[in-house]
Amino acid sequence: GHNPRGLNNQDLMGLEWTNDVESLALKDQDISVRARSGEDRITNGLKWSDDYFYYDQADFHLQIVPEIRKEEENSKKDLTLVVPDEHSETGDHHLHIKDYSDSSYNRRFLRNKHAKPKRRRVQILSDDESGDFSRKVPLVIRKSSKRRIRDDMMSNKMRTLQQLVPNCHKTDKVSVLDKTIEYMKNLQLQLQVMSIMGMNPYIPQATLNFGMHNHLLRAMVIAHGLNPAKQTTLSPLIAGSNWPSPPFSHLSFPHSSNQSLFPTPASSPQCLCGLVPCFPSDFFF
Amino acid sequence: MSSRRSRSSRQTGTSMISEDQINDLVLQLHRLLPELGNNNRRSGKVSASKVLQETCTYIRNLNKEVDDLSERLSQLLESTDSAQAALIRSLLM
Repeated sequence: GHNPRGLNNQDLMGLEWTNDVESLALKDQDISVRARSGEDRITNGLKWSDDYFYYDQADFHLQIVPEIRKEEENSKKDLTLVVPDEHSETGDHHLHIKDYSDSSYNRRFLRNKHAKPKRRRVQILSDDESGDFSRKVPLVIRKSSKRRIRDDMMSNKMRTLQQLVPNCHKTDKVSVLDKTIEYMKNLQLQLQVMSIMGMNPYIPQATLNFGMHNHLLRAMVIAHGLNPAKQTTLSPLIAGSNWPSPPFSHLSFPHSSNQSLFPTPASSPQCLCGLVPCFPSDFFF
Repeated sequence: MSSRRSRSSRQTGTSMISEDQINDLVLQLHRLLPELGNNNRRSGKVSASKVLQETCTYIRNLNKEVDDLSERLSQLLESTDSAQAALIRSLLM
């Protein structure tokens, strides 16, 4: 199952956030308890927690904690144990409960840590809205952890970009971004040219020989102007392109039926796809 | 293209890549992206991860467009008269 909140178990484990009390840096050292069943809780849990729970039975109701990995274990969740506490202003403090399958471990653990009869907050992950286990992010996530999450996401995206962009061998951010920018400009120009080629059969011959870059762009404008209906091919994808409006006069329109510069190429799409990537190199100084 | 920053201003050392450089590049990238939803959104800050996300999507779209256009052009090459075919061929070099 996927965590709708966008944090999966990997991320949380990567945070090295454990359920040990030491790692919970709240000043009142909240503890986390895993209760396996309501009955268990009532019969066993209360027994061994005498010296460390301090609560008034009337204030609480028990709730079963679903474990992190067992998402189907929700049948017994019907009791809530909430210890009122100075920290629970919203009652929204939730901690992840590790799967201490050995309850005696729990007892040792708890007894060592909480020998004092001081009032402790027992936080049990509760999920009232849905029946499923939903992972709630503990509020003790520190800024460094947040930063690490963000950095992880960022590096994921960097890696994706690296795979998308050809010849992107260096992995540092600046290189990837730089190559991405260049690649995107290439692609955009490629698309412009190909769109024009597909639309307009009368590209002036003069434009083909000299300074293809500028002239072809002008040709593209002409074609663009001639075929406004075809604009949809260009504008959604090409952003911010400034179409200059060239004068018509110095362009000639020779008919070049006799001109066959190259033998008939293979007319398969593969051939074109292989050729097209070479395109930008023609147009870059 | 000539609008790129000079390389000498970047990467003064492998470990000296500053946040500013990255932010600048992200902004450049953002300018290239089609602004379909946010025509007036030229605010100073853009979310880097959002920009990267949109970049990935956009590059995929562009690639797909290139493929489609290639297919169309190849069909054109097969079917049209020799003038256009010759022109297209000569453009493709």
